[in-house]
Amino acid sequence: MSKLEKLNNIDRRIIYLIIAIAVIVPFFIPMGLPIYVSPPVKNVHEYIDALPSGSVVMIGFNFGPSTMPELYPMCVAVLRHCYSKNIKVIGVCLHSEGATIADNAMRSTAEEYDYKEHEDYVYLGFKVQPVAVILGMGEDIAIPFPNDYTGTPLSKIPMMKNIKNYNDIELVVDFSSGLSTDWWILYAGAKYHQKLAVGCTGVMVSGLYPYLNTGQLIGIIGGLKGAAEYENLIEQEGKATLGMKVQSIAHVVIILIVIFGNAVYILLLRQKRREGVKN
Amino acid sequence: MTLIGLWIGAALTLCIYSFLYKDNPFFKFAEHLFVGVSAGYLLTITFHDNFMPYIYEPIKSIFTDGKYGEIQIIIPTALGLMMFMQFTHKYGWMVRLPFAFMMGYYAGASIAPNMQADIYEQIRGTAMPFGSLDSVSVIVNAIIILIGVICTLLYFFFSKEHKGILGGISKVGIIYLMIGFGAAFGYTVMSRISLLIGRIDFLLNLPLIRSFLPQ
Amino acid sequence: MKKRMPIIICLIMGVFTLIQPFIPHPSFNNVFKGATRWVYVMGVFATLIGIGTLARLHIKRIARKSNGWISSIVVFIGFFVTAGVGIIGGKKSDLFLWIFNNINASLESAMFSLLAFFMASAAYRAFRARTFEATLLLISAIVVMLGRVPIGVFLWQNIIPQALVDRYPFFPEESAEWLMSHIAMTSRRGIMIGAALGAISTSLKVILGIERSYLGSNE
Repeated sequence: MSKLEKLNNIDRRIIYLIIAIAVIVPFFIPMGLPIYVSPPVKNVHEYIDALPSGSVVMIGFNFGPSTMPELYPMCVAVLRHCYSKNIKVIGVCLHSEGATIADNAMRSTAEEYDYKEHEDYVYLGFKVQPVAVILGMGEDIAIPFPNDYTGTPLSKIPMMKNIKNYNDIELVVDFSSGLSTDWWILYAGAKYHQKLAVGCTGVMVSGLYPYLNTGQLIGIIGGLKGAAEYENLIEQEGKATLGMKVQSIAHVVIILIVIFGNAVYILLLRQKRREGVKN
Repeated sequence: MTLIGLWIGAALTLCIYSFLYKDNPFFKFAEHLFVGVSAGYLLTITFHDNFMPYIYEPIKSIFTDGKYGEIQIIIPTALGLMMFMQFTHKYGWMVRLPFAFMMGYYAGASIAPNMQADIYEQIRGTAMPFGSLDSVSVIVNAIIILIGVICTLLYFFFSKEHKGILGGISKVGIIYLMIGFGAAFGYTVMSRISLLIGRIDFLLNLPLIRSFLPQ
Repeated sequence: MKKRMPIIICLIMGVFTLIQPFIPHPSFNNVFKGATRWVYVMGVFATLIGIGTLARLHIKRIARKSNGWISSIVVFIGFFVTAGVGIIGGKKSDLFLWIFNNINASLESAMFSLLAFFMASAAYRAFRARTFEATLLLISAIVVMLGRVPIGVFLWQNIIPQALVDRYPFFPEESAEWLMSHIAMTSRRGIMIGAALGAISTSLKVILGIERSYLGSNE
């Protein structure tokens, strides 16, 4: 096997090692990179910023530990923004593994702003059959959520006294790693005309741009970069901002890997053509 | 306990990463432990957050609070229990009833929203820019979007062979699709690397490890 | 009866939820709310069925001592310990949260983070500019990969001539954004419209009983 063929069929573990180094080393390199805020993220920030004090925002925590590195920082950033604006927050979870994460996020962030549970925020917990839950909340939130996560009936929660359904909610921000975004758009957005914004993983971003273009979504916070942009807007550096230098270096390394792979392929093709001509 | 937990988490993470070298018993152990713990977690959350408020408490309130209106919960509970009949031969057909109910519910509920959100709004979004052509860039962008939508849709029209005019339109559609897939791949790379960053950040911030590393 | 009853139920429910948004009468809405509550109840059992199916698979493996049956014992240990602690101690008990945060969360995060390695390996091996379309895909991916991280702007502002940087200070980010919101968005829109038409026709077939795959293998 020639050197080029060996390079073309390189042991995958060498590539794994390169990626591991590309991700670990930048943690120790001091690097300040400018963060440009994209329009989709700015739209979400501006919308929440313009909400009057006492408005109600519903946040959907529809992700599990697998996508926490991307979605948890943006969740926390949006919660901090809402709490700093004295906006009431209702948390719901349509993904079973997000139930505990959501409780932790709402509670720990509320403590920073002296927010009181049941008066300033309420976490309703996880329910099965997400589409039916979204449809049910359009009629009455108490149908899918008779109690909150602590087991308190909604009728006994002071904050929920004047909140019946989507008509009383200014914005729903869905943090999602899967299909829940489509369901919110189809059922809450199309049927009940609820204003929606989304925080999603990078994989989902390109599929949501058609909804952004039509105004069905007011904005998208996409991936770790989106989370870093939101942290930049609320002027609170978090895990996402710190991860940007690592992300940047890793992207450059992957681009170089792809270019190298293509260069080896082209050289190998030329070599085979020359050998073919000789024969 | 917290410290032990962190180190157990780190050890399990390394068991998973050992798969990168080759498949081994540590990875298999970690993989199957994950399946079991996830199922146990799902059962717990379903029990506390769904079974209790939707089934147990309404039925209990019939007897303790006299809420006789809740007796209608018996019907979906019975339908739900029919789902377990799939494990028997003789009464296995009963599982069709609750599934038919749910399938009908969702199928009917999805038609109008799909039509509104994914067809009507998307066509409106394609045509809308032509209503306010106030600069060259707006006109160019509007035309690019219109051509892209039509060509992409026609690419997926397989009832006629892609020759002649349709062939040319399909080729333009492929160009748009390839650029779109490339952009999606770019975002996928970002997403996957982010997940790895999260785990490496966890490992590098372990209590003893952190003290040895440069800040 | 065994075949006809489910099809009739599906038809009634499908027609009901299809016309419900267009009939704003309170009685109709009350029936819809009731039907929605019924779906929640049945959904609980559907989740339990999913867990039961998993348990059945691993019980069979242990009973037959098939390949990897010891791993199935690990599954059951994890399942019973977690479920036991959670159901008896409560979902907010310290031990249950400890198991979730240190075992479940760690394992799940680690498992999904493996994708970064596999993606890089696949990118090296398969991402070849063999044709014009593949080259377009590659260029588009590089534009987005550089444009959507801060280093793209950093390199642009430090390598490119100052006159161009002054005119377009954030060119990589803005070009990635334009690509996403005009070209990539357009291709997704075309796919979305086609998929929606397919979804609507499938829903109609399910309601009308033409599509019966949900009834099981005998249909």
